[in-house]
Amino acid sequence: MTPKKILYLMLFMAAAIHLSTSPIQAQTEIPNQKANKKVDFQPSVSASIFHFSDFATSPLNYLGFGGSGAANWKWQTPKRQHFLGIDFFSGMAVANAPLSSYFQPNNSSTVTSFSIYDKHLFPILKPKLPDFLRLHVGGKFLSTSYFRSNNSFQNNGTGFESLLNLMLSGKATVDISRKEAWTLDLFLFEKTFKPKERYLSFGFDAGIINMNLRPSYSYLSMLEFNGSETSPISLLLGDHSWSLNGWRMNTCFEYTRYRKNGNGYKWAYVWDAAYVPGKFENFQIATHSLRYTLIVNLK
Amino acid sequence: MINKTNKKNTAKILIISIIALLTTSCELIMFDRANPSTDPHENFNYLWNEIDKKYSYFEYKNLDWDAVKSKYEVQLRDSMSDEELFDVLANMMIELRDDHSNLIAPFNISRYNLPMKKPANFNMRTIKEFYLPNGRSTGAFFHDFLPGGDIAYIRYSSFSNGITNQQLDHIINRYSNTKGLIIDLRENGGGSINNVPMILERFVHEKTQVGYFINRNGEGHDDFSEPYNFYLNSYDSIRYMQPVAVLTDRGSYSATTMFSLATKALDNIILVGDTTGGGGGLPNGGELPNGWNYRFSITQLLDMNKQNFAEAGVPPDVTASFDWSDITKDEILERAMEELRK
Repeated sequence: MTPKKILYLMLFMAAAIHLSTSPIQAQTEIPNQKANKKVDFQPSVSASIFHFSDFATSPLNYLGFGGSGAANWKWQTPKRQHFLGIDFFSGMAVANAPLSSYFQPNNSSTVTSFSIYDKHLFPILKPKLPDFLRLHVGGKFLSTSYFRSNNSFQNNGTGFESLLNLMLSGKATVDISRKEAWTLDLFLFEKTFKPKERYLSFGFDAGIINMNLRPSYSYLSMLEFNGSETSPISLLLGDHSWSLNGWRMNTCFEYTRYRKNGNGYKWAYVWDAAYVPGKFENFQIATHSLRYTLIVNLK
Repeated sequence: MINKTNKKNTAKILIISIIALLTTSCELIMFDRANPSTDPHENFNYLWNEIDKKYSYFEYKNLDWDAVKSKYEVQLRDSMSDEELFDVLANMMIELRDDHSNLIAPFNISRYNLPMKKPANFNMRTIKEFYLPNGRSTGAFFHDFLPGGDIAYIRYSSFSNGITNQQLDHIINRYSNTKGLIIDLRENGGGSINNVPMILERFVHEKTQVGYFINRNGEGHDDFSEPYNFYLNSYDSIRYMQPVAVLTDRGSYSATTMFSLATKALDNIILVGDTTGGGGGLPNGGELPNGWNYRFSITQLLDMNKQNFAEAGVPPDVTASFDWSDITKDEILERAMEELRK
């Protein structure tokens, strides 16, 4: 199967997963399910450390920090959770060049990425689990494009990769809510802890079909040059090609706190790693983020 | 309410989650290892291999790259200084005889320096003092009517200098009634290839193919892509259709060589002066294990007959040279004026 066919298959599967939870189907839900339907808007910000290597241009690892902003939406019924989101990340990294007592090289690179995802989770083993534990499995379609800039690489100074991943997803959620108020007697004063709805969850996404767009053999190519009408994008991407290889994994360890009105917030540690062999030389990137998310109950 | 058993279970799940998180979040055991190193042998081998895999002119220059390795590898010592290592690596790159091949360390940049190996053919002082004493500057262009008023002169010193269509409109309008135009690209070491068509398309009356590009695409020294076309379009507004002479010398390099090669396919433009410096290949860029940078050519520029002479330099249509015994006169400029007045 050619990479192009795989790409079409991935898009078809992502569309199929998405349509399976479309509003048309939602309308057929029984009334009590409909009453349990919840829609959240979840904007988030993250602070991240990340590192990457692009072995086509350098044998070194680049380590840096950055931040991201994301807009996420969550539709939840007792039978499924549907997440949709976009994420914009920007950061700066420096090369881990060995220390020199003479002149220290200090190359740096900026990294910008844009991601879009569509994730669906379904509850499993519900009758067999204790009340405080919920397990979900499902799938995720994730697409991320990385733009990198490193002036010291001159004509190879702009790097671009695009990743398309169809992933297997899972999530374990533990209900750590305080169901009843209790009072702590500290002799001089008392502190009353009110009931709170809160959860800890651990989620993962593991790529099962991983596609990537990477540069050509020589990284930079002169393709058809149509004078002043030559598109800069064609110069940048003209000789990139799709490959079906590598891996991608995400994990998320998350604390969620809901208020009585359904709003709330989340703190999470998020890990995202991708290994992208492409056709010729590897690219790899990992991001470790501390993420704060507001939960705005829309319905 | 969470009872004692559930609390125990919660603790277990938490511990399992944290272990899972820690194990899956450790990408270092799954990623390829980076290779920072100051070891002279590792840096030498990395650079030699990169050039071996990607440089585009081994066959054209009849270069025995294995012999080059043998010649310089014996000069390596474990305890050599940064300066000594730089010299070995730089000398290895100079064997490529290509000014697009450079080793770039924080304390030095290596160069083949072709213009310094050939006679100089340009003196700006001569132009400014004896031909264009009141020359005008429009952006990156220095220009005016030459003595006699029938021919105009435009100096463009570097393709790295940005240009705009508004500037070109202004200049071409000003000289629209002249018999001919001289574009002086001597000592123009190149820059952005996007500026090449911006200028040349002012002298083209229809879309014209002027050459080809091929890219190194495999480990064999003669592994190249199919030829890709190099076109010029015709600018859709103000153009200049009278004869044009382009002045070149050995300092005309890279984008200027690309410009000069393209003129070979255009009937209304002649090259006057010396062969260009070359630099027909597009250079890449990268980094060594010790953090130094390098670049070298990874493509070839071919003419309309798919001949590869651009790397050695584009020859002039009319050969002329600057006589340094009399700097009140620019023989190359005089010869171009003579050709345009024919």
